[in-house]
Amino acid sequence: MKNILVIDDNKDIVDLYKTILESSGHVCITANGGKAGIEQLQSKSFDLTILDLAMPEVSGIDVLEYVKKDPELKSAKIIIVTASSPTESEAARIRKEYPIIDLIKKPINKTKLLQIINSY
Amino acid sequence: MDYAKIVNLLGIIILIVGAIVVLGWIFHIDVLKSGFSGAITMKFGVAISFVCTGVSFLFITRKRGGNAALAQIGLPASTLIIIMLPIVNSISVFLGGNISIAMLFINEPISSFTSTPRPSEGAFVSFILIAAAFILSLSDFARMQNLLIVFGVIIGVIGGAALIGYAISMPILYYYINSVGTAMSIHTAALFVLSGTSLILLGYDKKHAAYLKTIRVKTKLISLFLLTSVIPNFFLAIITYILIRDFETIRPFGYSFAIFATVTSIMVGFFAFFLSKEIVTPIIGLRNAANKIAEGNLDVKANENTSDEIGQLAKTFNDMVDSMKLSTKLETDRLLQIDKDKEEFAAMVSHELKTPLIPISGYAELFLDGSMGNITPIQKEKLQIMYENSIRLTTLIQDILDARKIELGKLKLDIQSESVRNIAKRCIDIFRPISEQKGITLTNKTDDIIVTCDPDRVLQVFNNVVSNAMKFVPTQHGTISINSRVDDGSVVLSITDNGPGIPKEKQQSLFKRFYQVDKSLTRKSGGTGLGLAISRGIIESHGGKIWVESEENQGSTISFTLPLENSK
Repeated sequence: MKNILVIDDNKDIVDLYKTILESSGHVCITANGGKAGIEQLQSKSFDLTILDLAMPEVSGIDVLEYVKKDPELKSAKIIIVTASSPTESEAARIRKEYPIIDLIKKPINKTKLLQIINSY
Repeated sequence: MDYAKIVNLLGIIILIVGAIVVLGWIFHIDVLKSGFSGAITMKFGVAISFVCTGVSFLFITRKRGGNAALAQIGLPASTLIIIMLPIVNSISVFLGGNISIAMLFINEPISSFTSTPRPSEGAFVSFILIAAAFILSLSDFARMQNLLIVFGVIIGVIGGAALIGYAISMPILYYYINSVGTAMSIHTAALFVLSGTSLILLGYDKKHAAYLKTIRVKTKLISLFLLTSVIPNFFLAIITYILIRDFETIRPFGYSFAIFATVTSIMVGFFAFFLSKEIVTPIIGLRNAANKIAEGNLDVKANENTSDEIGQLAKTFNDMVDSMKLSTKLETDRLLQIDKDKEEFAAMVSHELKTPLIPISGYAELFLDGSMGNITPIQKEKLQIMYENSIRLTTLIQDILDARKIELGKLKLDIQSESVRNIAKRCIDIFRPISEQKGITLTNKTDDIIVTCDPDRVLQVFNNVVSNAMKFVPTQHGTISINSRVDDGSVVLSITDNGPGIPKEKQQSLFKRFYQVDKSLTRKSGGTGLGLAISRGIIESHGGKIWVESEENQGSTISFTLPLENSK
């Protein structure tokens, strides 16, 4: 059982992840958008955070910037799951610059999501 | 036939004969002057003119090579002398005296000349025409080459008539008319025939025309200066003659006159050289700048040192280049912006189309695996259709984006070292549930060979090929196997199936976009026709190749190569 935060601007996707995760016995907190995500990250600690990149207003990169600067969030485990297709060089840059543990491209199904959750 | 070589040879003959006669005059050897004893002598001025004519022929046949520079200055100079001599002689006719260049140089009393030192009228005409031909050759004569032939014919006829006159003993033909015409000597006549022939050959020489077209502006200017400089010298000669009217008195001044004429010519030559350089250099600079622009280099400036017409032209030219640069930059920026917009649009389409599909396929999956509670078998069957189609749509979107990337050459590879067996295993893991359901045997017979590749992209190739095979192999006893072998520095990976095979004539088109082997099969098998085209793009990006081997009703094998790890 893991305590997981899902940050995505698409409410349907957030709900889907929550359904999948909870049906597998995990605890899932959702944040609809980057701003809500940062608030959640500040309020408590999570075993794992699933973060979308392309979000209006506060983007995934903005969230990562925030996490990078906050010493209290140093231990946060963040996995990026994105529907946009970052080029390999962009992905490499994000991997290098921010404290993330993986970068996964959507589409992502139940099997794949649970596989990722269980591997960290 | 190389006319230029013949003209060269004729030029040398004319030069040598002329030189021999000149030596005859200087050293008083009568036989050299007349050809044979007792014959009419070639006049001193005529001999000098022939030397110059021979030299001019040699110069004019020099192609644009190492000798071109010499020819460009030498030709106007020799032409100048040819034109000067008959003019001096014709002036003497008008002034009523027996004036000749010979009298200035040959230290003999006038009475000792066997005939008048004045050349024949035929020689006048011929030399004027020869000089005119050379002057025209220095200007843009290439378009008037036929005129060379006309001049050549006239000169040849003048010389030929004289020769015939000698042959049939008819003095009038060699211009001997008592107290009116001066006889043309036999070797003079022969040399005119040769000169005329040379001019005719030049007129027919097409290769030579190329040289005539390339006469430089500088050469033309130098010729102009040199030719105009002749006029003061003539005035000097005429005034001297009018004042003194006695050649016995003038003769001692002959050498100083010659030296004076030479010095003034050299000075004029120098001035001509520098003045023409002054005019031509900025033009050459402009031409070079224009050449660079034609090559696509816009970072050039023409020299604007002077404020004369050429300087103004250079300034206009530079302004023009600046505005070209500006508009080129604007155009480039515009194209870059369009490119950027297209990229952003593609990224947006990718994101916006894929996102709604995630909850659709995601929830369908949850319903199908029972996470959302029990559903009836008929509901399950229809949900399966929804699920499969949403997956298909997702794949299609991804395929279109990939195909576009490949077409634009923007497919980026994340190159790593990976075992082909691992990639094949990942592929088989993906297809195992479906293959088990359909009773198809999937086997991984690959060896643990390490290749340098983008594993995700290579997996995509495996998936495309295997999913194609899955559509065509018979259910229950279909077999698909993945094999590997090393061949000449690369790994050959083959996917073999026992499907219906692909007809030979359709194998060529298999890797083309949107190609479907059989439209009726399409309905049964589905697919976008992009998979194999993308696969080819991916393999070619790795520097490999992909091909098919198949016999109808005997299955097919699709193979591709990947570079071995240490081969790079």
